[in-house]
Amino acid sequence: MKRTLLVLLITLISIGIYAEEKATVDSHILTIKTEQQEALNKADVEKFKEISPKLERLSTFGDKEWLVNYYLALNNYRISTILYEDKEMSEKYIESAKEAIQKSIEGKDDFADSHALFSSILGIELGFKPQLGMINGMKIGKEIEKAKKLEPENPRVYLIDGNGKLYTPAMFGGGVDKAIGLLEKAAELFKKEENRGIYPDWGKDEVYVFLGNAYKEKKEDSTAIKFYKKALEVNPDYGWAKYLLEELDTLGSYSQ
Amino acid sequence: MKRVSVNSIGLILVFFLPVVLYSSTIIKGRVANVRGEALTGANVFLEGTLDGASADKDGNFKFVTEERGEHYLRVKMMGYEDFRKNILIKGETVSLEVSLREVVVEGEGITVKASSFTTGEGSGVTLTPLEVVMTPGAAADICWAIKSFPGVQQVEEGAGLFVRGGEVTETKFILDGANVYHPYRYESPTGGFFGTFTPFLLKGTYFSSGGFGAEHGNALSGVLSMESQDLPSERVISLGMGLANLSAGGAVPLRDNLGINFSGNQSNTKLMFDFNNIEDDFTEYPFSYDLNLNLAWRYSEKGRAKIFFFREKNNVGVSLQEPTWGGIYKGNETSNLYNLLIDHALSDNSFLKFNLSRTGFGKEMEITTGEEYIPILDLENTDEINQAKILLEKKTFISLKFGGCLEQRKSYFEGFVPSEEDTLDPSVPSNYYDREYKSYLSSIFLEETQFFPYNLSLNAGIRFDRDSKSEKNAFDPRLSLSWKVADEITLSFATGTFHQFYEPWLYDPDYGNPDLDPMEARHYIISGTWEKNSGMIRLEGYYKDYNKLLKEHDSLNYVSSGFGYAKGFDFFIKKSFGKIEGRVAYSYLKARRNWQDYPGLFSPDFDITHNLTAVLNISPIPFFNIVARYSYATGKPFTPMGGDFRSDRVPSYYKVDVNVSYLHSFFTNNQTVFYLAVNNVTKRNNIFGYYNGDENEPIESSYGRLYYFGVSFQM
Repeated sequence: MKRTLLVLLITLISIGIYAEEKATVDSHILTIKTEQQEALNKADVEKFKEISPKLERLSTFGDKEWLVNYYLALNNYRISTILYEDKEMSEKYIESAKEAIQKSIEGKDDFADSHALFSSILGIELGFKPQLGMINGMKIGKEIEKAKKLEPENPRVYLIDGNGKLYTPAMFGGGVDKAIGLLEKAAELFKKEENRGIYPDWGKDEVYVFLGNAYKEKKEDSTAIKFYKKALEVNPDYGWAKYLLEELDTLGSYSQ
Repeated sequence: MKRVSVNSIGLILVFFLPVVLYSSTIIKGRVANVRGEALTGANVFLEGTLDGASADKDGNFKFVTEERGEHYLRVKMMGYEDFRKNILIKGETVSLEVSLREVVVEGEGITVKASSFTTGEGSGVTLTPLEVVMTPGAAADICWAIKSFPGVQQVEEGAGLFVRGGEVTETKFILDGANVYHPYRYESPTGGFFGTFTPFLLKGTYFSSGGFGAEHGNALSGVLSMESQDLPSERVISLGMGLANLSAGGAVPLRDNLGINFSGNQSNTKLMFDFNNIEDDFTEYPFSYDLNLNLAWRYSEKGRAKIFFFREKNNVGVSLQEPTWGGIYKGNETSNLYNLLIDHALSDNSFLKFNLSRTGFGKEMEITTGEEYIPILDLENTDEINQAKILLEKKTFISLKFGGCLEQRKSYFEGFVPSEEDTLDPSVPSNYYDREYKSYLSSIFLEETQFFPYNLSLNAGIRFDRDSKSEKNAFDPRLSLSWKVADEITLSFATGTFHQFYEPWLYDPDYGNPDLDPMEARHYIISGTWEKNSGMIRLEGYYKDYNKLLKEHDSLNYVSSGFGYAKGFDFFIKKSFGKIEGRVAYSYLKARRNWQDYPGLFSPDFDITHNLTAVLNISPIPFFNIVARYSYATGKPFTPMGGDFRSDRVPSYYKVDVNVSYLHSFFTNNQTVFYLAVNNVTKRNNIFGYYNGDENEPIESSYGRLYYFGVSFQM
């Protein structure tokens, strides 16, 4: 009896060890997705900075390297956008985001989310290096087109395209109204999107913040407020939406 | 007793087995850069696991792992190359000192290193058509663009790169490893009017104004190394049209691992001269075209091959009005280049480069009087170079480059040449000349780069060349040291011996001397650089000692007894303030030579005392750029009529050029650049010399103010 117990114990321990090793890339990705959302809610750079090394390690597991690199690119891209005022650091992170997304695309070329993210990364890089206008300008368009072709119903593609258009001069095919059109389409598509497991499904809340930003740009503050509130409905912990709402409030245009 | 035993075994197993299974190992150490500075935040981990740590503020790291056996330790840090090392984990603490190498990120446009400039990014294309049309006064020419950096003297108005008191032929041109002996279009004694290669087909260039490594030989003063475009990642078609040029090109990926880049340019200057109402003496307006095709193939994960084909042709006709006679000069040149380049990774850190090239150059020159064919000069010259070069490179903490090159050079001359050298006059009889020359140049070299404590780095090399024609050898030791005093400040020192062999015809016993030694120069360079964010300042002083230069001789034609020196300093400052970017390059030079027919040590043509270039780039709104360039150079020395040998100088040279460009997109993926260039805005009449030293007979610049405009379209 005792011996049986012992064997059982050893077996369990071994299984435990084995299971731990097999706590594969998939489950790590799921954890990281949650961590990224939490970090985003608080715009917490330090938290994001803790995630990057984990992803770097995960990228050496020899499994779904392209997807891990996608999340690494996304993570560094988030850091870069939060640190935008600190030009030097922000530029460093966007460069590593670019490197990671290029690796991801090298590994898997037909994943719409990667192309969309690449397009957005190039847009930020362009902000730092205007002289890249010629090179990046063209790629930004091409990458987003490719993403649309690959997955015409992917809401993040329209989210990124719309947000990009918000900061693109009208003569280059940008502008607020175009942006709103695309973001509205993204919002519609997000309503249909289910949990995608290990694959990216972020943006459900962000899309309303972007829409709010677009209306703020149009000086339609009450509509902007409506969208910021909508973002908070989708994600009550969304710090950025709260901040933007407060900002409009203190400006005295909170008219309700 | 028995029960106890079972129990104890059980206990032992239950408590100790996991310990055996989980027995952990401590891995610790420090991460620093090659200068020993801590790299805070470096990610140290075991490959394939999450076991790892980030380096703390002193660069120290420590983590525990349950893994056993052989594993790869990986260290990652932004801006540094990845580190990977095989380690054995068996329970005992593993201690490691890791040092990471910085990734050489070449910044926007042109970055400057000690004695060298680089254009082009690590990957991708930087010398875009946009940058090309944005360089004022450069007429989309790479040599002209390089001339706005220090260490290059403005001699007359050509593209020729005269580097730090060296003659124009002392700067060597290399394309994808292949030596190019005729790098200029419309060749002239000061080089030529343009560089042969258009920037459109180049990925990046490297320029060194002295003290370069042992890989580069047969050059006394400078090296311009160009790299052609790589495998295209997307399809791009571009078209260009300007007052004097038409161009078309593209990049087409054929498969994932195969693609072509191609371009064709045609330039016809008649319209440009007519539009600008420039009086000229052309009987045939300068006309040129070039074609380029480049096939890039990534044949495996480890290697790539590139086949490059280039052809360029130009011709010009000028009517000559000499004091005693009138005539016509006609010239045409053809250049061809075929190159095969193989770049193969033998392992993670060792590489093999091999290239096989064939360059051809043909030139026909003719000077006749009026309608009647009286040849004063009628010469056809063909040059052919076949070259094989191999380079082995190992990149670790000590980087090694080892290689060799074999070059066959054939020259052919046929035609009539004036019997009195440098005298063009119908009354002087011509000699018929028909000669063919062949020579081999073989070289081997070894170069090593190493880092030391106290932020010191060293590059040492040796090189050996042998020329078959003169049966002379050259042995070149080279050394450079660099010391990073602080984050922003670097001091460096370079020295070395440089040799250069003559063109094969100079070893002809009838016209030259088969016993000529290779020319020799010794460089001593000391430099200080301060660099921070978007600004940089560099000051560099140098001394060059020349020996065995060509000296005319009554009975032997030429001997190797010429000598001379060049000394001076270069100053460079570059700074950007958001929308405004500016750079200023100033060079001071004193060069003296006793060579050719000089009666002693005198100033040669390229002894330009002060040379200043200032470039200002303003981008008031996005996609709109205004670039202005101001160039100043001391006039070149000449011998006044009835005066002492080279005792006077022509008036100083200066010129202001402005370029305005605007980028517009008509539809998705389209980029259209409109540009307008105004050359010599102030209508400065620059003088380059005097006929027979007579100040009433100036040789003037052919350009007044010149407008040029065009559009370049890409989709």
